[in-house]
Amino acid sequence: MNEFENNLKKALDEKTGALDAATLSRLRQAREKALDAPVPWWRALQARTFATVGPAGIISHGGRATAALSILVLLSMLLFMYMFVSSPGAESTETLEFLEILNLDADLELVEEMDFYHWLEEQTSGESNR
Amino acid sequence: MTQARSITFMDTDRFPQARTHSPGLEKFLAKVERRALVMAEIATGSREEALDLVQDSMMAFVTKYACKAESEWPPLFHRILQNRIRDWYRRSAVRNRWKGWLGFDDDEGDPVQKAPDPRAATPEMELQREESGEAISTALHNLPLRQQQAFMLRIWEGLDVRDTAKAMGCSQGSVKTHLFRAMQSLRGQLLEYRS
Repeated sequence: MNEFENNLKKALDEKTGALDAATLSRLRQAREKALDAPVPWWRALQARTFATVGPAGIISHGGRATAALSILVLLSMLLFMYMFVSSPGAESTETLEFLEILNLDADLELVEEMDFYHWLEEQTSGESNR
Repeated sequence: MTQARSITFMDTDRFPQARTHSPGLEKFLAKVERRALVMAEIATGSREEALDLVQDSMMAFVTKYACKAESEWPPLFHRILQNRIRDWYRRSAVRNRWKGWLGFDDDEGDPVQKAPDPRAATPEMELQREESGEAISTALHNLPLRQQQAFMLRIWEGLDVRDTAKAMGCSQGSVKTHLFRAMQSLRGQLLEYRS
């Protein structure tokens, strides 16, 4: 790093160090608020899994979670088929709407988690390249 | 890793209301928050807006990415922050366009908010601070946003090119291009800092 860049960094560091007490207090409050924010249950589960088994063991836990999710999806499909066959009339519209909402939620979650899957893929390919 | 495991489970099992985050998370946020504020303030030109952006970023980071490995936190946090700043730019651009069309000037603002703060720094202190940093802040504020981001993340925050690219959501080549242009522009504007 050259002298010019060092001078710029130093000046910005000084600016950071000169923040007034009121601003620092508001930053601390913002941090506390963020740390106290409720974490969605699936993310908490993700964090617990990561803390419990670490990155190396996450695949085995991930496998179990996938199996559990598959069973849940299968049961939902069976329930849906049962409802559809037993009442093909007016109720089927409600069932279809319900299923659409279910799918919508699943899609939203997939979109929200896209970063995570992309990240995981990068990590996996990075490890396999080593 | 073993230590992190025991702490996480102890906290959540004994105290259901306790924070489920790793103890390093608070330290990380405390470490990055000031720089994040200065980055956002230079980008927006407003401390209030900057505080809001930093708070939003911390909230999103904790709820979405706290489960990631600690080594991944800096680029993730900065990605959130830079996205928030970019959104703010977009909103401002739209708002200004509407104001232009409708013929409104900028808001006069609350006179109480505008009144001088008696606890603020003395004029001498202000002058000293201005001399040391205002020229740089102004030069950075005048840079296009992407150049500003590349400089802040790569030079000031010290992220490598790969992490800077992740934080900015662009390719590593783009980071190098933006940074090159930023440095060229800054060298032209800040002659007194070159030696």
